[in-house]
Amino acid sequence: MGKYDDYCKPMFLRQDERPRPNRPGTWVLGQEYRFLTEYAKWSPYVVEYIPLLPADEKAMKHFHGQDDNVFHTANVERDGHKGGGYKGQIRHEAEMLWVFLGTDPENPKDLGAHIDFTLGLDEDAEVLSFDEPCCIHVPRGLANSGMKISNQRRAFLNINILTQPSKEACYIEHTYYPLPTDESVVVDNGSDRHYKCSDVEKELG
Amino acid sequence: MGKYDKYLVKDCGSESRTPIFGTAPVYTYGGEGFDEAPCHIEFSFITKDGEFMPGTDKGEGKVITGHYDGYYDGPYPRYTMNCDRIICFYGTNMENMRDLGAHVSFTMGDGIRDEMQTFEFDEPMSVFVPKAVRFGPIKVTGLRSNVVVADILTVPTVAEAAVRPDFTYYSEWHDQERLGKNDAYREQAEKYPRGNW
Repeated sequence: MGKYDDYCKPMFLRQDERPRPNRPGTWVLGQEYRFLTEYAKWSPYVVEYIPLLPADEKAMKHFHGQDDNVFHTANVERDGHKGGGYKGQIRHEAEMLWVFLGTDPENPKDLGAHIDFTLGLDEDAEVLSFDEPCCIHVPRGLANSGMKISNQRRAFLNINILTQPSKEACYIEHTYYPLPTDESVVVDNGSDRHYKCSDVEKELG
Repeated sequence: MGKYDKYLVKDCGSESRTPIFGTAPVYTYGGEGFDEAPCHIEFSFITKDGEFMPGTDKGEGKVITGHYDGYYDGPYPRYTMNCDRIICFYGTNMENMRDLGAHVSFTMGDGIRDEMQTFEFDEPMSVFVPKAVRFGPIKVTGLRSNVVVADILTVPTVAEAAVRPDFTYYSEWHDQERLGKNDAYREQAEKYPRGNW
């Protein structure tokens, strides 16, 4: 047993039950929100490492938010809220840094994709567009409401840093699109179960 | 000019950062270029085997780089005097997220004021370096795919962090490799100085 044993820790690998073609997984440092598991209690920040692979348009738009007639999801949160796909997120008690890096060190200014990242909601929304590595600083109280990936030529990296040791401490507020009524997949974030949309009201009450 | 344009930060002075890992690009975001930054973060790639922050051999001249703001740097283990540091190592093997892509050896402590301890790992790993605890050298072997390194300080700027290289450190890695296990090659090492085998 060494004095620093607790300071070198593997992180938590979060992977989808239904794998998405462009998301091989997420490495998480700090307290994982969904499973309430703590990894590395010493970490003052939550750090997520998310490689994003090229995939078809449908898979890419699933990443955040949704467009009409493309791919509808519904979400049931732990507090019982039911709604459509995520429209926006606001972190009231933390800053969030969205870092985008390429995977080709020989071309350090090439991200490998075009990103349209939306800050603000509805009338207040503004799109930031870029093709090179960068960091988007999202201050407390400002929503981010969608990210679209286009012209992706190779994998790139999204590394997110939240300035709290857990997502709970960030006090994250979501906004949603209306609950869809077609035969879409519903993901229950509290239990990771999947339902048909038409069964949501009956199953979950 | 949109009202949120300022939140898209392209770079905060990567060219002035001395890379720790060879010559791979360093991406820097922090208070040096963005006033509202809550922390200073650097990202880089390990693209080949090597020994990083190795110090110098006994008897060899020290390599020290002076910066315009009075900060001195070099290939030495270092202390971060005013804040904690988180260093994360990630792989880029998209077929196997648990594959770091290399074997990494990470040393903490200086063996003088506290213990010296070396971690060895082959999977993605996070390391917490407390304030005023020395870290380095970092040794990478068997590299199969690039390794991404995220280095996060818990203050907005490097200046606030008060990073101090340990210029007194000499390269024990080189000595051990030359001398071999149980000093098996001491006679040859003394007969043939480093670099002249």
